[in-house]
This record gives sequence, structure tokens and C-alpha cells, in this order.
Amino acid sequence: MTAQTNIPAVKLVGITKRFPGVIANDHINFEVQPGEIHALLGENGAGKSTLMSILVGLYRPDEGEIFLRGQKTILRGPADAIAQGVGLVYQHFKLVPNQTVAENVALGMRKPRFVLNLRQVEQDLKKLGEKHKLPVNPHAVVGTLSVGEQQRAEILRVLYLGATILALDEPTANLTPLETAGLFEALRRLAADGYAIIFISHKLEEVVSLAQRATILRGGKAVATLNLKGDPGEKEQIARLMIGREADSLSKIELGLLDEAEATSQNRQTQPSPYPSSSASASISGPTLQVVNLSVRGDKRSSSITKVTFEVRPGEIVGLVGVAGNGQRELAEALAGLHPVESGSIKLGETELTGKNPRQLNQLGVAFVPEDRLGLGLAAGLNLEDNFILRDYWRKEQSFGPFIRREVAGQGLAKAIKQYSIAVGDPYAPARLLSGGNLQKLLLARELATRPKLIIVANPTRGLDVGASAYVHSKLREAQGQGAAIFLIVEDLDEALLLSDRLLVIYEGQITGEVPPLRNPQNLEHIGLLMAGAGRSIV
Amino acid sequence: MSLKERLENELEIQKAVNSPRLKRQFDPFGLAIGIAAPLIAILIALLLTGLILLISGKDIFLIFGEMFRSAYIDNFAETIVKAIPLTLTGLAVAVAFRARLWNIGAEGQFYAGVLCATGLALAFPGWPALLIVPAMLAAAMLGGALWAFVPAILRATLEVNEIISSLMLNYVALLLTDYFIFGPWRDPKGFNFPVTATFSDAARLPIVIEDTRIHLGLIFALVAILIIWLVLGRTQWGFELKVMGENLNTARYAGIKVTRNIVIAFVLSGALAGLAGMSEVTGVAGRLQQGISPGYGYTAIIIAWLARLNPWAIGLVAVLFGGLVSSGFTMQRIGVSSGLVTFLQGTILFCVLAGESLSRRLLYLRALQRHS
Repeated sequence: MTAQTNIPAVKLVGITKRFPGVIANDHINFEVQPGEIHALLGENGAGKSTLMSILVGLYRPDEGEIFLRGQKTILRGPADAIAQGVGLVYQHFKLVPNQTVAENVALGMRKPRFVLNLRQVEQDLKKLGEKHKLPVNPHAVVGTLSVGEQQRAEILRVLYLGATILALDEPTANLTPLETAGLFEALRRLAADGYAIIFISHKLEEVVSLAQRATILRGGKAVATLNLKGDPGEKEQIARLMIGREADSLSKIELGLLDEAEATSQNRQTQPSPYPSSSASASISGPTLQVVNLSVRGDKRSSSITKVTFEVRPGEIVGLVGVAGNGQRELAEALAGLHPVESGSIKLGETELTGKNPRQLNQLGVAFVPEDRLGLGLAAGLNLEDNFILRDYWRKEQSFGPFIRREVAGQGLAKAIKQYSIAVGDPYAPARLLSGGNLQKLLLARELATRPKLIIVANPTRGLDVGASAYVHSKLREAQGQGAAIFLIVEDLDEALLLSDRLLVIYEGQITGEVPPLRNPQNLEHIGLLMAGAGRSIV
Repeated sequence: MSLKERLENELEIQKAVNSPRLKRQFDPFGLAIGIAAPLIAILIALLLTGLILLISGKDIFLIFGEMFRSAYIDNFAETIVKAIPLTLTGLAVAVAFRARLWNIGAEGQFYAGVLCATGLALAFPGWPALLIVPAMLAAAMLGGALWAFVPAILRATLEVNEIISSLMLNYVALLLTDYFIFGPWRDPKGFNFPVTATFSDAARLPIVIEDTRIHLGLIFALVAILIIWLVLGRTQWGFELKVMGENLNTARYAGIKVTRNIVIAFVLSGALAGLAGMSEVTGVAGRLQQGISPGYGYTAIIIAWLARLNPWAIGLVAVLFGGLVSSGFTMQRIGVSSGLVTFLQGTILFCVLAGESLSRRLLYLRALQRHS
């Protein structure tokens, strides 16, 4: 126990929350001291989000007690929680994009009830920002701010509303390395001022560098609370606790444990890889995908792509990194035929792809595994069979005149379920009942079934646990080994470094540079600058 | 690879290909809920209606008893007559609903069909049945389709909300009908009543069951059920509509021509409603008069919903609601406002919608439990 005070800022005792068929939180004990940065770790589905939702009053626990600053409390809702000084900064910010920072803050105010003195709020925010070194312009419209600025605004908002207990849900997921460093500095300062900070993450490196203690959740239980001293082997210990077994080499890579060794050797190629190596034969033939001066006009809600040029060769994984919302989605959708192209050319081998519809592209050998699994790649309400035949229900082999041959579809699905070991109760139940990992497997099974020449993948492991992530990566590697060209669009820099043969950086719809996927500090700093729009001269 | 390995590999593939078809899990609970929910909804609606009757001091057992006897025993043939347009309009909205297109305009499309059929019947009184009936059929379906084409094309190209546009067109169709029967089509021998002249015998659908008013429209309805069932449930196009109904973005991703399908689904929907109008005006009335539809196009929405878009179930539910419509006259005879029937219908819709989301939630929670 760290010895600052005897009264913890937050103390959760025996918190239990059940959902139909799952115990999301199983008698969890958790406490945070004032002035402490306490990390909350666990895989997806371990119960982190549920615990935080209980802490901010979104859920009521079925059992257990909440003490805030030694006082037993019942939180009746988010407004109640903020009134008692608990603030949560979400991973996907809950700010209204077409209002200013000050207006957003005023939205959360309960008093005074009817009078709004926006100027006062603006002045206060400015002062508060200066005090905590969280600079944000209160007059700025939120939608025009960068992700880092929005996050600062969000933190300021909860501070202004009186939070002394601050929980941050995966705060670094969308930040550039530079912004991450800035955030950490601000958090350390807040802790020094006596705020209690709960830092939710699954990035071990960040956790050990920032937090004093870490509580690890697994399967709804708090398996351990560790004092972090910076010992070597600490990360391995946490990893073991998180996944409940000795991390094998694949899991270690997923957790970012193996990459360090690679970084010290500075040379990725000579490092033995657990994946079959494949890119050797790649450079001989011409590129699979050749994009030249591609421009895509975004609409009100999306960004534009301006004059983007790159290529992906067979057997090569090219990663595209950047802060979310810089045109990644539009680029992916343009390549998949879902977004109209303004100018420029997209070539698959010798075939021009612009102007073709998604089905024609798919027939030519373009697979698309979108980030939004249930909203684009699959339909939540359709059963697995319907989802499985989405791409080729219209083919001759699948049909008898205008009728769909269901027995063929069922056989295909049975094969895919076996091949990809998709855990499924009833294949004729709606897809929304499947876990993220199984959905991704189903999506991959369908998209990879036809041995595509080009695979466009966006954030393929978002929301997946370590095991499923490793599986997805191995499938992509397998496709790469079979000669597919893979264009990988990711926000998680670690994942990009792990998989890619080359890295492209995107900023405001333009590719600002190409870098090797190396983990050394200079390279990371370089990537960070490119992601933030600096150093455009490289290309 | 050695020969043995190759053979084993081949066997493995064969096994995978021949692996037994995935079994649909039989879920008695789900089935029970699926059947029970609408029944309970109807029961609650009856209770609520009964409550109103009780408050106004009526004998509810007498009234409901009379209603039931009149609808399903004494005048069952009349119930079937009413079920014909209800089935056809019910199928009409179901086609659109399948793609989550809200065709609230079946009433207007029904009237468009009525107008087209009437126009032909009045213009060519000398044509034989073999000529005039197919002509009216085609014209009515075309008319309904055209009426539906307006909201369809607006929705598909400009994303105009089809609920509003299709609903508004109902009034246009209704008023257009009034114009014709008060104006150019008014029967000169009709003592100034707003009715058209009676159609020629050739232009009237033949009765298919003697001593009743059940006409050829019954066959239209049964054939339509069969066709729509095949189209929605078995064909590629039906599958496309289903995907569109679930998620338009996924539909685009799958290469489905969304814009085209919106228009086709809507137009097919309108054609069915137009057919309903033709069958009603030529099969029952034999002339066009005011209020030829007691709101078939609106009741159709309740029917399609209650039947969960299943064409066969639509036929059944249409008979149920046909009874409600046909018993309205009996109600008046025993001194209850025929508005009671409309009230009952509305209450049923409310209860069904509530039951629908409740049972969906129940099934979802249960499925969650079974899967984890």
C-alpha cells in the first residue's frame, strides 16, 4: 500500500455486476489513493468498462459498495457521479462537435440552472487550462480541434465540473507519440496536485512508465494489484496475469513484449520471427496495387483525400498509420469501391479500378475487411449463413435461376466454421450475438475464401482479445505468404510496426511520409512528427 | 507431397465439403414467444376495448359474442371478401417493409388502382371479359406502381423521407377519386349521387363461390401470397431486400444496387396495392363510389406487422381483420358505434408493437444466455 493518506479517494468493495449469462464483475475490490495514478488492466471483456461504468453511475452494481473519500455512496447516474467528483474521459469523446469547448462544458453544468454566463465559463476554463498545463482555446469549435486537443478539452471539462477522481479509458489509443507524452506529463502533474487518476489501458509499456499501481482484471475478477517499481520482468508478470497463462511468443508480440528485443537489435529482418517469412519473393513482379494521384472528396462528415500515391506489391504488407479521422476511412472505402473517386487512378495489376462497383472489385480479387464489422462488413441482424454468402449469393454456383441454393451456402459456412474454428452456438441466430473475435473470423473467412490478390484491412484487431488478435494476424500473414498484397490501415502504431513491411503516414488526407517499421526512438519521433503534419518534405 | 499425403489431403477436403449441413437449432421457447406474443397483444387489446365498453355501460359479452359470431360464423364469406383487399395490401406493404421502406401509401396506391380499373371499365363497356379484365388488371397494377414510384424515386435519389411522401399522396389519390365521381364520371342516371355508372357484366370479376360475394380476387390474393413468399424468401432479389432492411451500408458493401432496389421494391408494393383496388372495385362494388376503402391500406400496415412480414401469415391475419371490418355493420345493428372496430384495430396495433419489442428483447436476452 502506498502511504499518502489513509482514506482512499475511491474504494470499491465486492462489486458484482451480472449480465444475462455473464458475470462482468465478480466481487471486485479496487481502491485508488489521492495523488495516485492507478492503472486498470485487462483484456477486452475482462470487465474494465463495466467497472468504470459502475464508478461513474451508468450501471448500478448488483452487489458491493462504493466509497468515495471514505463516504459510502450510491451513484444514481452520471450527473450524480460528477457531483460527487468522479469524472470519466471516454475513449471516444462525448463532446458535441459543432459547439465550442466552453459550450460543451456548460452543457454538463447543473448550477446555475437557468442562467448561462458563457463568458465566465470561458475565462474559468482558460485559467484552469493554464493551471494544469492543458491548453485549449475555449472559443474553439470542438469539431475543428485535433484529437489531442479534444482530449484536453474533455479532461478540462470534468475538472471544471469538479472531478477530483479522474478515470481515463484508453486515453492514448488515438494519440500521436508526442501527444501521448504531453498527456502523461499533465496526468503526473494532476496526481502531484492530489487528484486520483485511474488509467485504463492494455498497453503494458505505458502502464509501467506512468502508474504507481496496477490492478489486473481477468474474466471479471480482480486477479492482482501490483506495486510497480520498474523492475525488469514486471511486464511479463502483468502479461501473465492478464491472459492467465504464460504468454507464448504470439501473445507476447500482441502485448508488445517481443518487439523490444527487436528494437534493440535495430534490425527487423535478422530477428527470427514466429511467422513464416514470405516477403522475399515480393519485389520481383510488378505491384499488385498502384494508386496514383488519388483524390477523394469527403462530404460534410468525412475528410478528403488529396493526391495520394503509393503501391503495394504482392506478398507485402503496407501499413497506413495516422490519427483517426485524417482520411483513412475514405481511402479504404474508395479502394473498395464504396466511395466515389474524384480524380487519379487505382490499378490492380493492369486493371483500372476507379468507377467500378464493390462487386466488380471483389470479382477482380479485392477483399475488404472494414473496421466497422457489424455496420459494414456484416449485418447484425442477419444470421451467419446470410452474412457468409453476402459476397457471392448471386453467383451461378450458388443459385438455381433466380433462387438461392441454400444447401450450397450451408456447406460453405460449415466449412468456414470448421476451418476458422468460429465458436458459434446456433449458426442461424443473428450475427450480433457473436463476440468480436468470432465476427472477425467470419469476416476473414468470407473475404479470404476467394484467395484475393489485394486485401484492404482496417483496424483488424480493434476490440479483440490477445488470442483472437494473434489469430487474425496469423491469418493475414498466411494470406501474405500466399502472395496477397495487404494494405493495412491502423490507428494502433504498435500493430502497424508489428505487421508492416513498410509504413505510410497519413495526415489530413495526404501521405506525409514513408518510414521503415522500426521501433527505435528516432524513427518513432519521426513517425510522430509525420502524424502531426510536420516534416512533409520527406516525400 | 507423397501420394499418401495427397490422398489424405484430398480426403480431408472431401470430408469438409460433405460435412453435414449445419443444423438450425430448434428453439421451442422462441417459437412459443413468436406465436404467443401477437395473441397476447390481441387479448390485451380486447380487454382494453372491453374496458371502454364497460365504462359506457354496455354488455361486453353480448357485444364480443355477436362480433365473433357475425365475423367468423354467420358471415364468414363476407369476412373472406374483406380479407381479399387486406391480404393484397398487406403483401404490398410487406414487400416494402422487408427492405425497411415504410410504404404508408398503400391506401393511395389502392385508389390509383381503383381509378385505372374504373376508367377502363367506363371507357370500354363493350369489351368482352377476357379482354377487359386483364386490361384492368394491368392498368391498375401500373397505376399503383406509378403512384408508388413518386415516393420511391424521391427516396432513392434525394433521400426524401418516404413515410411523409407516400402518406401525403394518399390524400391526393383520395381527392382525385372525389373529383372523378363528383365530376366527369358521375352517373347521369344516379340521382346526383357521387357514384359512377355500374360496370358492364364483363368488367366485373366473376364470383368463385356460389351464393357468396367471394370473387376472383380470392385467387389473385392466393397467387400473390405464393409469389411473394417465393420472391422474398427464396430468391436473390428477396435476399437483397433483406440485407437492405438490415443495413444499407452492408448492402452497398455486398454490391447490391441499393437505389435500383428501393425503386423496384416500392413499385412492386404499389402494384400489389393497385391490384387490391382493382379487385375491390370490380369484384365487390361494380361501380366506383365514395369510401370504397374503409382504410385497407392503413389496416394493411397492422396486418403486415402482426404477421411479421410472412406472406402466409398475412393471409391468416387478413382473415382475422376481415372479420373486424365485416362485423362493423353488425355492431351498428346492436347499437354500438362502428368506430369501435377502428378503436380495436388501433389498440391491437399498439399492443402488437409493444409486444414485438418486448418479445424481441426477451429473445435477445435469452440468446445471450445461451451463447455465453
